[in-house]
Amino acid sequence: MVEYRIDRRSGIATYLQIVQQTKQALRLGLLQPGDRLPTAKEVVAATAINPNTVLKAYRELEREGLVEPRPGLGTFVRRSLARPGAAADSPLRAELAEWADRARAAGLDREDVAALVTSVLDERFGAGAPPTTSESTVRNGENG
Amino acid sequence: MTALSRDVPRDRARRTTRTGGANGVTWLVRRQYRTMFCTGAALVVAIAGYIVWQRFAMTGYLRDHGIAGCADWKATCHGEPIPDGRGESPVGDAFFHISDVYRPRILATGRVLLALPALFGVFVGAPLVARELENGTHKLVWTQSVSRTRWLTAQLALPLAAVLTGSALLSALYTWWWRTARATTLTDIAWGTTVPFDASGPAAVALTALSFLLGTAIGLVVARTLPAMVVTFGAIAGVVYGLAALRPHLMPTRTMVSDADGHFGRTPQHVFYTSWRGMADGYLTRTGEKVPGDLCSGADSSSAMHRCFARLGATGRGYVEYHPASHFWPLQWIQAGICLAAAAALTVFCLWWIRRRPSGRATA
Amino acid sequence: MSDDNDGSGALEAAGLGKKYRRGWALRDVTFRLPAGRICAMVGPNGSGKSTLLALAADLLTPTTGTLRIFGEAPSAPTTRERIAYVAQEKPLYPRFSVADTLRMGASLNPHWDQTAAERVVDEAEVPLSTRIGSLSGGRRTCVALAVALGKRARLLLLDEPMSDQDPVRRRRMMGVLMAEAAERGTTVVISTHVLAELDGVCDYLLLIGDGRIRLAGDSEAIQSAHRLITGARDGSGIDAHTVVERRTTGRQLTALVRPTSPVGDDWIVREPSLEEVLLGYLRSPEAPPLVTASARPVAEDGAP
Repeated sequence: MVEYRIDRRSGIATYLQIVQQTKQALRLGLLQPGDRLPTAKEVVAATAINPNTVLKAYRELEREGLVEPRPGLGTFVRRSLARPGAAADSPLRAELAEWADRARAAGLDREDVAALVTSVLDERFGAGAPPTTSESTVRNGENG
Repeated sequence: MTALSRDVPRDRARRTTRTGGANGVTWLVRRQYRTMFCTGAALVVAIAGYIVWQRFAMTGYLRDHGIAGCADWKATCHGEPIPDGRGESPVGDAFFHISDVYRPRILATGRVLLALPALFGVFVGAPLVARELENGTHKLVWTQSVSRTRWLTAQLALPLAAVLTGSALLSALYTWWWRTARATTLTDIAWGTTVPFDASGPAAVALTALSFLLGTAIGLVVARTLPAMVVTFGAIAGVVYGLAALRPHLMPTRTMVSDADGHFGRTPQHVFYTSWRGMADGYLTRTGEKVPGDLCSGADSSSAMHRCFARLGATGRGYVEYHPASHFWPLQWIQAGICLAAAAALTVFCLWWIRRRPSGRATA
Repeated sequence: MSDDNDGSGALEAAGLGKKYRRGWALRDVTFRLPAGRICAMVGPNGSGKSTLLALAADLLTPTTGTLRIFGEAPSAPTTRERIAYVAQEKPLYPRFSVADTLRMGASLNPHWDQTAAERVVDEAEVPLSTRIGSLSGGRRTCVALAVALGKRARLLLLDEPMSDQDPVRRRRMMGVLMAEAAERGTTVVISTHVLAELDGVCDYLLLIGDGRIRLAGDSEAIQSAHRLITGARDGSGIDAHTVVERRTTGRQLTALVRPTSPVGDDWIVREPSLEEVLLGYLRSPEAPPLVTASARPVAEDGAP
C-alpha cells in the first residue's frame, strides 16, 4: 500500500503529485499488479486534501491503463512499471548509489548532481523536461 | 453507484442510533433541566412535609384541648362557654393558642406558596428560550432534524407537567390545612384575599401555568435572560394584583343589612363568619340606596364623618357586601379558567412567534 | 457523483437579499453550488458570509429572493435532515459533557451516526467525559463538528470552522471532513477569511464582498479565466480585456485581467494562483464580478 505525501508548497498540482508518487511506487515495485490503491477516503483522511483531487488522479492513472476500478471493491493496479533493473534492490540502483557517493566525495552538492544527471539524461534519452514538470508550472497553485 | 463511493468497502456496518423523534427531544429537556427538576422536587417534598406536619400538629392540639369541631364565634363548645377574653378558661385559651400560633404559620406558608409560581416563571420560564437565544444555542438546536415547533412543545410541556404536579400537590395540602383551621377557629382569615386564595385549589395550579408561559413568552420576545426575568417578575406581580382586584367581581356579591343600630343580628352567624367580606360596605338611605363608606373616608373626625353621611342621606342602617362560603369553589374554578385561558393563548403565541420569526440577530 | 449533479444544486440562490435594521447584509446574490463540491466561501469579516449560511440553515428569512437546498426551501422538513450547520460561535451547552452533547445529537436526528461523531472527538483527543464548558475554543469546535458529522447530512455548512484551530488539529479535522466527503459525496461549504486555511481542499469558490457575489464557480475555471500580465506602463490594448486590478511600478504595469481575446505579444503573460486572483479582487472592490458556467443557476426551462 502506498502512502501519499502532499507538498503544498511544491507548486506541483496535488493530483499530479499523487499520479507521480503512484508511478514512482510502480517503478520501484512497491505496488504490484493486483494491489489495491488506498480509497479516496483513506487518502484524504491522511492528507486533508479534496477527495475530487484523488479521484482525478485515479482517473488519470486509469486513463494510462495503470489501474482499474472494481466497483464496490476499490481501485487495483493493472500493470507494473517496474523493470527488472529499476527495482529497489537491483544492481543498477546500487551502482547509481555508489556513483552518488563518489560525486559527494568529489565535493558536488545535491543541485550539482541533479544538473549533471539531467544533462546526461537529456543526452541519452532526448531533450525536454519531463512532461509532468512542464504541466505543473502552468497549473501552479490549482487545487483540482 | 457514484464515483465517490465506488471504492468504499460495503461490508462495514455502521453504528447508527435511531433514537430521534419525540423521545429524543424529551431526553434533551430532561438533561437540560435535570438539576432544576431535582431542586424543585426537593423543595416540593420539604414544603409538603411541613404542611402535613403542621396540619396534624394543629388537629392534635384541637383534639387534646377538647375544641375539635368547635368554632370560636359560637357561644359554646361541647357545652362549655367560650369566653371573649384571655385567661378566663382553658377552652378560650386553646382558641387563642390556635390563633396565635397557627394563623401566622398558615399565612406565611401561603406567601411562600404564592412565591413559587413567581419563582418558577422568573427562573424557569423566562430563561427557557431567552438563554438559548442569548448564548446562541438555538442555532445548534434549531438546526437539528427536529422542528423548532416540536422542540418548543417539549420545552414547554415537560417543565409544565412536572411543576403542575408539584403545584397541585402543594395547593391541595395547603387548602386542606387552612380550611380545617378556618372551619373551626380562624374566622379572621379572609379566604378571598391573595393569601390564601391564590395559593389554594385549582387557582394556584392555573396561576403557576400562567406564570411559566408568561415568562417563556417574555423571554422569547426580549431574547435576553436577565431583562426577561425582571420583566417577568413585574408581569407576574401585575397578574396577581389584577386578579385580586378582579376576584370580587367574578360572581355577583350578596348584601347583608344591619338593624338601625348597626347590628347584623338578622344575618345567621355561620353565614356571617364563614363569608368573605370587605369588598364594599356603607350605609343605606331611607329609600334603600347604598352610600358606599369610602365616599366619606376623607373626613378627618367622627363628627365630620357623621355630617358627611347625613348630607348623603345615609341612615344608621349599614350594609356589607360579601361572598358566602359557597362561592369559594366557584370562584376558584372561574379564576383558574381565566388563568388557563391566558396560558393557552400565550402558548399559541409562543408557537406562532418561534415559527414565524427566526432569530433576526445579525452575526455577519 | 450523485444524482443531484444533474438535477438541482446543493445550494442555489436567486436574487437573494437580507436586510437588517442597519442595512443590507446581502444583496442580489445569485449562484449555484453543484452537489459533491467542497466550497470555500471567502470574504472579509462582515461581508455577509455568516448571513448567507444562517439563511441556508433557516435561522434567518430572506428579505428578497429565494434559496434552495437540493431544490427545496430551507424551512422544508426534509431540508432540516439534509443539512448540518456549525455557527461561527460554535454554540454548545456548556454544562453538558461531550458524551451528553453527542447523545443530544442522537436524540434529535433520526440518521445519527455515533461512530462518525466519536471518530471526530477521538481525532481531536477530547475525552467523552469532559464538560463542554472546560474545553478550549479549538476543542469545542471539534465537538461542534462531531455533532454536524454525526447528523449524516448531505450538505455541511461550516462557519469559520478552522479559525481557532492549531495547524495540527486543523489538518486532522480537515482530514476527517474530507474523508466524510469522500465516503458519502457530502457537499461542504466552509467559510473563512483566510483562503490559505483551505489550500488544497476546496474545488469551488464563492468570494463575497460587501454583501455581493464577487466570484463564484469552479476554482480551476476561475483560475484559468484570469491572467497576470506585465508590460510597459503605457501598454496599449489592455482595456480590450476585463481588468480586475492594475498596478504600476516605475515604467512597468502589472495587471490581473480576464482576457476576452488572446493577449498581445508585448505582454508577459502567466496564469495567477488562486490566491493571487482572490487578492486582486479583494484589493479592487470595484472589479466586475465573475460567475462561471457551473455556478450559474439552471434556467427555468431546465436548460443550464
